[in-house]
Amino acid sequence: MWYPIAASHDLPFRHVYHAKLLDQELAVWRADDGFVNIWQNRCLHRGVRLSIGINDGQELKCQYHGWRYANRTAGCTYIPAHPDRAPARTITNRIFPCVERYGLIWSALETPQGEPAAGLSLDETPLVLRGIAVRAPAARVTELVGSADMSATLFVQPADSGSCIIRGLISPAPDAAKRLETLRYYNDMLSALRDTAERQA
Amino acid sequence: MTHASCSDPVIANLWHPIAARADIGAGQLCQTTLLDEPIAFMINATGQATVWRSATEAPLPILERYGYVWTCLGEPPPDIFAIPEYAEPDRRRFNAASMGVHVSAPRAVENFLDMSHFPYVHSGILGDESHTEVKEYDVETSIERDEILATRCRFFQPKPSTAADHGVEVDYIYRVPHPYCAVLYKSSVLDEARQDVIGIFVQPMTQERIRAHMLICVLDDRSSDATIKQFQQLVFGQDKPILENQLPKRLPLDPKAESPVRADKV
Repeated sequence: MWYPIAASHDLPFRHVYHAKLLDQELAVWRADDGFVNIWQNRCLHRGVRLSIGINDGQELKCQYHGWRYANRTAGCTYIPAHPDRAPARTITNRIFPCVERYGLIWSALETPQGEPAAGLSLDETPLVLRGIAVRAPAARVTELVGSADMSATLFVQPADSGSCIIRGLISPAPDAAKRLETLRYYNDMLSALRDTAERQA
Repeated sequence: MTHASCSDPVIANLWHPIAARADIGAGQLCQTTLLDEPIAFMINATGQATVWRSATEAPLPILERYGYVWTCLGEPPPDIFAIPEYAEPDRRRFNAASMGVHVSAPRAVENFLDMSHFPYVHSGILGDESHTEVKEYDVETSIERDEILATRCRFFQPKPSTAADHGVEVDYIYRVPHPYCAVLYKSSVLDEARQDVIGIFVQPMTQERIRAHMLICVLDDRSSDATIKQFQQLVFGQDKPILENQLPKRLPLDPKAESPVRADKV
């Protein structure tokens, strides 16, 4: 199934976002053409996290030896230590599926059937709540979220066996005048839910 | 002798550095970790150093070389590798820093032997993004000396040392005389016939945590000790966050797990 792994607003201009899904670290970056790349978070050369790399708008450049990887294909385009030789085609980073919808970035370890948030009728531009990281297993947090009395649509992103992130949407988005009040309200509610989950964990 | 922490006899039977002698105050009880085992050491009022296992207080062998205190958890060889230049009286010789890094010892040594990161990690000092090519160099293994040698290494450096005031193509020789220690020789800007010597002696605290002890043994008649230390600490401080972001922390034994290129042959 599709899991939200970031909010669209986590990907400002030429940023690289560090995400985690089911124990897999991800480097998430938007190229200047709008395409969102979700890659395994390590350079194929020496294993340095690409989330500390440089997004130049077209390519992601590793901080250690300047190896560059192309938008969309994740193929290595340039190895600066050997500027006259084209990198082997086999040097291509692992790509994870990506859909951007409802203000969230959705991914999975293998491409799932169907659409993200299938069966829910959501406005295309809801209000996206801030992600709440919880140090408790996703299964337990999913139960708590299910029994919570909230009119938000909530998703649980399993980061690893002991932690997860609650990502929420308010659909349709409230009026601009109510936006801050709504964000504060759900921040309080979800922070309390997190505290309950972490006390039990 | 058997011990619980390190199951690899080759590593257990090596001398490992645990501190720079100059950093140890007389009478001060110091504690550290070596190969997962807590150990303690002290220098008494007469200058005598002792090292022991914290758990049992059993004494450990001790060796003092190049300004460092070395010990061994197994059966140590009679001595460690030679650095003849250390005896030359006109050299500046001291520990530049002992830096904790959350990385494995082999990855730290690999970083020390790597030229192709200079333009990116040490931009403006040991490299420059307009000079990234690693030219062909030679690697040989000396059975007699039991070490790996990389020679004919050349790299353009904007500021190769504290004694340099302009960029120059620097010649390097790397020696790996110990699995967790490496020594580099780079052209001196003061004397064409001689070389600056810099050593990295890695103390494996655990398989994923080290202290890197950095020996300076250079020709420099104008910089203060503090300036020379600061230069090395700046360089190593640039490497630390890179090393701590390597996944997995231990160096994979399968060469296909990562993508070595020609520049990485040492």
